[in-house]
Amino acid sequence: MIRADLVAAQAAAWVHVTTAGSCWTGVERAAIALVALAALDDADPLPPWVTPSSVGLRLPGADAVSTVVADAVYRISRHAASLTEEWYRVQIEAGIDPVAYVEMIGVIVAVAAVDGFHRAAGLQRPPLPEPRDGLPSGVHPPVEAATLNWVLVATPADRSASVVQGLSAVPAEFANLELLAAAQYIPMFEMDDLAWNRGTLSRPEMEAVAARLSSVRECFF
Amino acid sequence: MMMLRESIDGIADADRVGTLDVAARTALLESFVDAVVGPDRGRADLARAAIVEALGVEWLIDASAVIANFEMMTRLADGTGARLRPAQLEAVSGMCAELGIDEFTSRRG
Repeated sequence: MIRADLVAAQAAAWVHVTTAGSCWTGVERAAIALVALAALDDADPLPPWVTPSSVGLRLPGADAVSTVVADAVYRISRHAASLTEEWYRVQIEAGIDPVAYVEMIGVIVAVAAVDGFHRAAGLQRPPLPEPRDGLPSGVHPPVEAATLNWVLVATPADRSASVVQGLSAVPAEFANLELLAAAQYIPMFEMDDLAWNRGTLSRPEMEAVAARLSSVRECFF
Repeated sequence: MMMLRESIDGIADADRVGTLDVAARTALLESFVDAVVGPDRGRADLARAAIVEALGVEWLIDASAVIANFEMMTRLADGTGARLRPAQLEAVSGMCAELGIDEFTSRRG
């Protein structure tokens, strides 16, 4: 019933988020994913300005990461459109490493994709795999500040679109996003073909769905 | 079946199953998005059924996949503080004003 490429991309994303990255262990990445899922599943979500820790809300996975990280993951997962540059700066000043923040976004967006598909299609979301052992590589490309994003990006900054360079500090996260996008939406190399489709939704219909979702999420970008 | 059809906003002439025109398909897809991202599970079930009935299960899967993609991309854009370039902002300024999205907290530029 579900396209094989879509199943494969989302299964790979589930393994990806529970495997050590550049800055986080597999256990920590799985914890970030669990907090993100808890935020997405919350039937009575906290308002954006209330952190889970401030009201004693215990989130699955939160024991494996700092309170600052768990609170940030909840906010990004559930209230992304409410984020401001000032909020981002506060997270960095509170101790989240700027490159680790980018990797955290990579985990959250993958979780939002897998959850979003199953929620929309009315299918049971697969459980996260067990985290894989292993230490973070500590490796990332040279990074610098950008004008098109709050986050640090791989040098040279601002040569590509902001959504493309947003995860460039942690290339494995962008690779995972690209794999998901190819199966869920349009392969990157087909992006300029305005007639490209899978035999179901036309490109304009895909854009209508995208625009409606972005509007509901109040995403200006 | 009629109750199901009547429950989905914006479906024009749903009797033409499989032959919905572009406007009707777009309305159906947009109603689907609104329904499945909301908290009402019953409305979401009806919206899925309407897509399958009118267009087929492949459309349900592919429309859900596009939703998944933009659940991903909206968090990417807002989580990394992605901005449009000044020329892009200028190009869409009229549309943004018309749609009222200049008021979004997530507006950056």
